[in-house]
Amino acid sequence: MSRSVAPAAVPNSKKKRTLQWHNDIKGYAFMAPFLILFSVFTLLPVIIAFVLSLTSYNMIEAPQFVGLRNFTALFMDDDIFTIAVKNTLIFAVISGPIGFFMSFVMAWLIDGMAFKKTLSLLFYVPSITSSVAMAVVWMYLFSSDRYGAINDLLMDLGIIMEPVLWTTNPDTILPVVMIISIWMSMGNGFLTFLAGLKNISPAYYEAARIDGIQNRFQELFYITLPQMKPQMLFGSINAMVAALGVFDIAVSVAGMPSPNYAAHTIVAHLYDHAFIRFDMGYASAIAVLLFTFSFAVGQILMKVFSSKDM
Amino acid sequence: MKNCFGKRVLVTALALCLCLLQWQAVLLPVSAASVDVTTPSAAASAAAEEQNYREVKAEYVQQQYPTAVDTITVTPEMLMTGDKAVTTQSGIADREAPAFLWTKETKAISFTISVPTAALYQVEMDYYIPEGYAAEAQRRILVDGILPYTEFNEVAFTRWWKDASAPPLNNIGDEVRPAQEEIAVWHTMRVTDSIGLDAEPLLLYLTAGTHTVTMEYILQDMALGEVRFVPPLTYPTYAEYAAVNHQAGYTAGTDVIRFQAESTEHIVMKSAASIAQVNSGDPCNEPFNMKNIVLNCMGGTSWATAGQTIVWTFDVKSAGLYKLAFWVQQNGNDGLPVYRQIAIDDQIPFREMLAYRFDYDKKWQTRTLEDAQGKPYLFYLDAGTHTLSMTVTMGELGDIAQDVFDTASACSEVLQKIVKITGSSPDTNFEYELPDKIPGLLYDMQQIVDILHDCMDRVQALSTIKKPSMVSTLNMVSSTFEDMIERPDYIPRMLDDIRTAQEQLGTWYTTSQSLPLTVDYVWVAPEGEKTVGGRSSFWRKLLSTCYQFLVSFTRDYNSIGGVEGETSEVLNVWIARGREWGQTLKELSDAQFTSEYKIAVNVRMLPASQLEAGAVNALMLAVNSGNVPDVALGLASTSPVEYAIRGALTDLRTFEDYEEVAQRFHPQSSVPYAYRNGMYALPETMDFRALYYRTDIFEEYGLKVPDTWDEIYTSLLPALYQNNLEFYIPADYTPFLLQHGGSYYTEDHKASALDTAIAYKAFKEYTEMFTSYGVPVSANFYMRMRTGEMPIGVGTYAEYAMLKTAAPELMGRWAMAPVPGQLKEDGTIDRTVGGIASTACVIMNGSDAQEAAWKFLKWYTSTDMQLEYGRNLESYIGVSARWNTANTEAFVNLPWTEDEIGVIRYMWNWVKETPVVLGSYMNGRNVYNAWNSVVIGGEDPRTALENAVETINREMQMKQLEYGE
Repeated sequence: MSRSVAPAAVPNSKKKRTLQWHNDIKGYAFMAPFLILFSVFTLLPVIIAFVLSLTSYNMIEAPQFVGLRNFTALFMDDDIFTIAVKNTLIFAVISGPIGFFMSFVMAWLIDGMAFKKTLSLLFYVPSITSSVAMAVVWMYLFSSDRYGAINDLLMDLGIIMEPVLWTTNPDTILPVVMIISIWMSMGNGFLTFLAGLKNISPAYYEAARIDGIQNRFQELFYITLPQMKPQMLFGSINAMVAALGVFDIAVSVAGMPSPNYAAHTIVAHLYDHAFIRFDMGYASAIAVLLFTFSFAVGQILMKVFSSKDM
Repeated sequence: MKNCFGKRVLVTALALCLCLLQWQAVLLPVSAASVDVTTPSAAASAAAEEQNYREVKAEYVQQQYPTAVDTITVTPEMLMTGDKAVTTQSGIADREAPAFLWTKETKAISFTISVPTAALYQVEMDYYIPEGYAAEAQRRILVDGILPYTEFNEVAFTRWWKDASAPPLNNIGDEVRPAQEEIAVWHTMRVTDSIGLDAEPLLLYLTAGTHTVTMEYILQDMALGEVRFVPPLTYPTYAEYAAVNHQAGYTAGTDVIRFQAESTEHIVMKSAASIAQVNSGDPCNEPFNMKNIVLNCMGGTSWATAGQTIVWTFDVKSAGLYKLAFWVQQNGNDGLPVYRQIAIDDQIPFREMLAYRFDYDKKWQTRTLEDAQGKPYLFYLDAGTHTLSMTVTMGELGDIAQDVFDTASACSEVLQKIVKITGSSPDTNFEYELPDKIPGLLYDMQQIVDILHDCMDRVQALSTIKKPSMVSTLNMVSSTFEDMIERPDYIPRMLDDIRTAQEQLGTWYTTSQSLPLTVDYVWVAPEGEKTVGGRSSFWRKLLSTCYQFLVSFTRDYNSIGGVEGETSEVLNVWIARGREWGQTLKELSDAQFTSEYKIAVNVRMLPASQLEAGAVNALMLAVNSGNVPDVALGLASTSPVEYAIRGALTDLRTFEDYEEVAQRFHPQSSVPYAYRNGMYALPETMDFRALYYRTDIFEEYGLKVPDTWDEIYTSLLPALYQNNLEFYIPADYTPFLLQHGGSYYTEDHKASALDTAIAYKAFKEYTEMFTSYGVPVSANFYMRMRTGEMPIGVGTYAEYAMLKTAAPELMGRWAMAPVPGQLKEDGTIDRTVGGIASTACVIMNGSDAQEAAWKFLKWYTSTDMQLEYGRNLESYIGVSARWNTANTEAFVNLPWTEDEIGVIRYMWNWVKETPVVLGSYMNGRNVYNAWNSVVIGGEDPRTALENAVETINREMQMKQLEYGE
């Protein structure tokens, strides 16, 4: 930050500018590996997606320019897109905050407990495991016949008589996918929060105690939370992006496409158009929308969580 | 009220009569009841009558039947079909004596023998199997119209094989399996138990007088020479054998012979093409190469099934007594021993060699054939060439396996009895009082527990480790039953556990029959000679492992290229299958295609999903980047048109002789590959639909295999439900739609045809199957067919393969029938189904070797090639890899039984495949959604179907607009 301010503050001297330029070059040289990779594998595809969203492209023949037709079709004609948006929003609104909140609570609780390291590892493991592999484990619990663990338990307890078709019944698919994805996405936020908690100097708590703080909850509200704003920001954006991007868990649980589109998210819709219908242009339009949307949400979250000194 | 008294008398009298009848029924079978507490049903007792060899042999021993002294010979001229003598011919495979070439047109032959005195015989036969499919020949043998015991149901005639050459090298310098050559000559065999439960040839007791023996055709043509009823083989004990040698004054030999077991020079015969050389990465093996794969050992898992024999040959220069030792590894069955029957010059020298035990050990070991005291057995070998044969046999495990098998059947019976009362999904809150309702239930369970405990002890005694997993499995099963005996009220909740128990015991039985042994080299040496193999040190192993790890970075394991000789062009073939498939294809194409057309072939294997439309796949990316293969094999049937629409595939109609090639396939199997006027793929494999049912259960309950859906609704389902059994049908709308005369698309393929009255009627019937008739929405048909809860259901080739290969206890207890159909007004039954197309092969449009690619496809789909490909696959991987080729002629020649192929061929008349059209992916999806809304969501079928049609039509129109139709 200080560097961007520097040229204005320094008098306009050629020598100094050259020196500055030399320094900058060094900086950019160090950043180059990342910058190159970032532009080639992230920036460029985003730009290409923007361009493709204005074309009709079937992945094999050359793209044709069609203007905004993809977008009008998306908003005007596509019923399933509406379902996908609805599902994604439900996801974002429910599982994003729940995941965020739970990972914070867990981090806060575990931070004060014995066997902290072991417990942290246990919480982080799901995030580094492949979601498809995890889905297999969960499918054991949510299996649709009477062999499924949850069906079996519920039937044993006499709560249900017939097995619930967890992954076939449109009413239960979304909740199942949510539970699994919350469980899986918690690890990342959890780790960030744990780091944030360690970051707070014990001196603050000591000082606060002298100033008259009574219990851990007051500590939480007056010290821990304000101190952890950067981590909160990161965690919330992470949780949001994860919620908006839910796809492979949904597919491994409910199939592609899911019964009556019950677990059809925006990304699933994108996949459907890109790889089942070979409509890359249309899929790009969806991608562009999703990008814009997550960008906007990110901005809002920034506003909410960032303090003035950042 | 006047007649009240009279009525009462009448009623009382009637009641008394009934009571008496009941009383009689109770009184009569008293003796039977004390043995078998539960009253077995008709079918169950019929099954019990069919004895297995173990029971029969026990009876033979108990009765002390004498063994035969003379041989009864049946010459081919004495064989009859019906009342005519069979046509014999001489000169079959250089046999001067006449023989009978038995093709499948002859269903059965018979002959009479006259037995001088009642005695035990063994049956010996001369046979010759013409070269053909890999499968062994099978015949059923009946004596006086009765099956002597179950082992005579499928008497197997082995084909013999040898390697055509030493293992050749592939392009990266690895040794690959050599091609297999059949030794199609006359063989002589004694009828033995094909599962290897008993090491000796089967005994057959024949009473004095004339007997009619019938042989029925099951599998594969073969020529039959003489059939002989011979005195049983007897074996001296080692003590006797040694005494004879001693008397003859034989002394220790002086040669020290050590030969490599994998060497093609020493292997003269193998009883299966799949018995193969394997690679061991342990540096203690010879020869060893750190860089490349060398096939340096013999056997392993490829030599594990009972009856599989390897015959080696070796030369002895100086006659004398020798010991035999092997450098082996036996780490296949966790803790359990394996057994081998050892013969020298085709003769088992003494009794101890009938089933010699090789104990479990993870490390490589020297195993000398020796007695319990560790004193090596000495074999007398004269100077000259000898053969050593080792045959897989089950030894002491055989008896245990038989017991476990019987227990699995007992589990099934127990389960069926319980389900009869409770249904397959019992109300867990209801007290069924099962022990009262099923007399003897707990006794049966205790019986199961006792047998299992006994088996556990016996397995443990054989094991060299503390607690082998094979014991743990039995323990788990037995504790399940112990729990149930302890708390009978919990039995209804534990039905799943019984199912699992049965499954586990079945698996146990199959696992116990796998007896792998890896042999590196063999010693024939005098007693005093030190025969110890060198184990490799830790550092040597570490070094070679590290080296192999480093080498792995530079090698491409997914591509097999490399061609010898002159070639003009190179074809790149992508195959969406496993390594064995790629390897087999490469071997065949090198041997046949490349040598004939001078076109080299590179085969690249990809995971199965990688060539399908509807996924991010390699083929699409390849098309995208312009770097396409020439030919792709193994595409899902819906993929070709998706690629064709976008111009990525070659229209095969542009090749002149396409029509001629298309004759090889069932016409309907090409339907999904047509788009506009083009044909974009050739069928590679095909599928079928059939009705599978359990013959034993159908017999027991007197059920009839249904021909029409109406029969299912009105008679089969009620009968099944009465006995708490279920019917299975996959969620597939197609047969209903087609049988009502509907179709998915209009004739011009431009719109959905599901808006017709016919389609609605069919859809209603289809959904009612699940909503009104209570057919389960989701179920594992194979599993429940196995347990007997779903004794009937519609399935495909996948179910066939599973039932055939993975359910040994169901052998002979299930059958196939045509899929039920709609009864038409004219009295005929319409059985139309879809689903014949399975996978396809295509030529990529971007390839510049179009003609060569077409030649390759023509060669690949030809009958001979498909047969050989299928045979090689089956011999490398096993029956589970049966190649369901789309070439109809080759398909018919697979080793189906006559009944099976009959059903499949019949269903071919009724196949109608659905075309793939623009936007057709929306069809399956929306039909499924409509089904889901109705069956699970409770929506009205008409609304659901109408919604589906609307969505399908919109998508189709959009795609038609896009692709200019």
